[in-house]
Amino acid sequence: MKAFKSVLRVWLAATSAVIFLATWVILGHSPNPIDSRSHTSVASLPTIAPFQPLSDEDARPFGWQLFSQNNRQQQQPRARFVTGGS
Amino acid sequence: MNTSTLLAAEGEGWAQQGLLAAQRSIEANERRFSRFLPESELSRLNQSAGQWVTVSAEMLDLLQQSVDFYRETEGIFDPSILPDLKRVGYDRTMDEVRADDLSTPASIRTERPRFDQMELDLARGRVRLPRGLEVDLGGIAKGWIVEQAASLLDAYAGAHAVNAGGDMIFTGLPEGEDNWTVYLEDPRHPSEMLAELNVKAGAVATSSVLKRAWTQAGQARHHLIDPRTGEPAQTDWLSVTVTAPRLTVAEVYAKVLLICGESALEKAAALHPEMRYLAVEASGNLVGTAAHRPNLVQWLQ
Repeated sequence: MKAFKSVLRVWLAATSAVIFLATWVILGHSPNPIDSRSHTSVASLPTIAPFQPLSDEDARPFGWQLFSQNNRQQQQPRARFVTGGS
Repeated sequence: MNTSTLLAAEGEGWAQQGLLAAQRSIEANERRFSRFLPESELSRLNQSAGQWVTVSAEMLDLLQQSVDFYRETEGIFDPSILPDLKRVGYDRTMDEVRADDLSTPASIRTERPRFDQMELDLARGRVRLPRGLEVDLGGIAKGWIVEQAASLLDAYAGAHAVNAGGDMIFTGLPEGEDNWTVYLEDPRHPSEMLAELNVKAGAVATSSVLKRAWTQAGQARHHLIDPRTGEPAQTDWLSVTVTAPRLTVAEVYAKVLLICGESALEKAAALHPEMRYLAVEASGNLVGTAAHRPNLVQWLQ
């Protein structure tokens, strides 16, 4: 019985520690609203999703490009804005 | 919108959430305004001509703006030219139209109701199209959808851009940048660039007569219909690019200036003094508002 209680205590302590660490990691990495006073200085806009070029304007599904600025990916290509009519 | 879309925003995790929210908004509104989807709200409205139809607030807003633009441009901007477009051969996808040998000439133009004969009941959120009127919101819907997406992104990022097939809105400026660079396609050779235009915040839209072009009974055709004749417009310019604070204004006036040429400039400038334009002549030369000149880098021919 004593041995069982000891094992139970150890198990409860370990579980509590794991839950605490997981909560700390999740909260520490949750997104925050952008703070206009502390923008990171970033020059490049990396590609996040692949772009599907369209030849037929009517029949094909949309192509999407999503860019968000990320200072860990300085070497990624910049967003390119081309206008030519539809 | 039948086109590719590019979204960009300054920031990391939070900005990424904004991009996804903007993407969802664009996809939902595209389903609402598409004439190619039989179940879209616009398709259901077109199928119910002659009856009052309850519509969404979004549809009501866009129809109201479309009527306003129709009246201020004296019908040059006309979202009801679809029957004429089909009559001159654009009745399938552009790939199918180009692949087909359209040997039959256009049929005779028939009378149809004017776009502003559509009735809007703003208080009860209802619309009644007169029988025989078919609405295609096309370009102005694209402008409106991009405006909504940009408004959404305002909550997530200080600097962002939304570009749907060359119609775009820029908000703020990325850290360390003095402007956004927009590349102007050469309408004669769409894979080549003609110039770079440096813009601050605002909207950019372009209309071209060479983007969707085909032949019908040996006659050159394009998709920009002049509502006064019901035929593809005879234009002085190959394309017109307009910058303005609002994308719906830029989108509408890129078409109006391309159809009417210089004769429409004075009135357009009086109605929208912040609007600027650049037009490409057949030779590839650029003409336009002098205020654009310092912001323009013309590429060597």
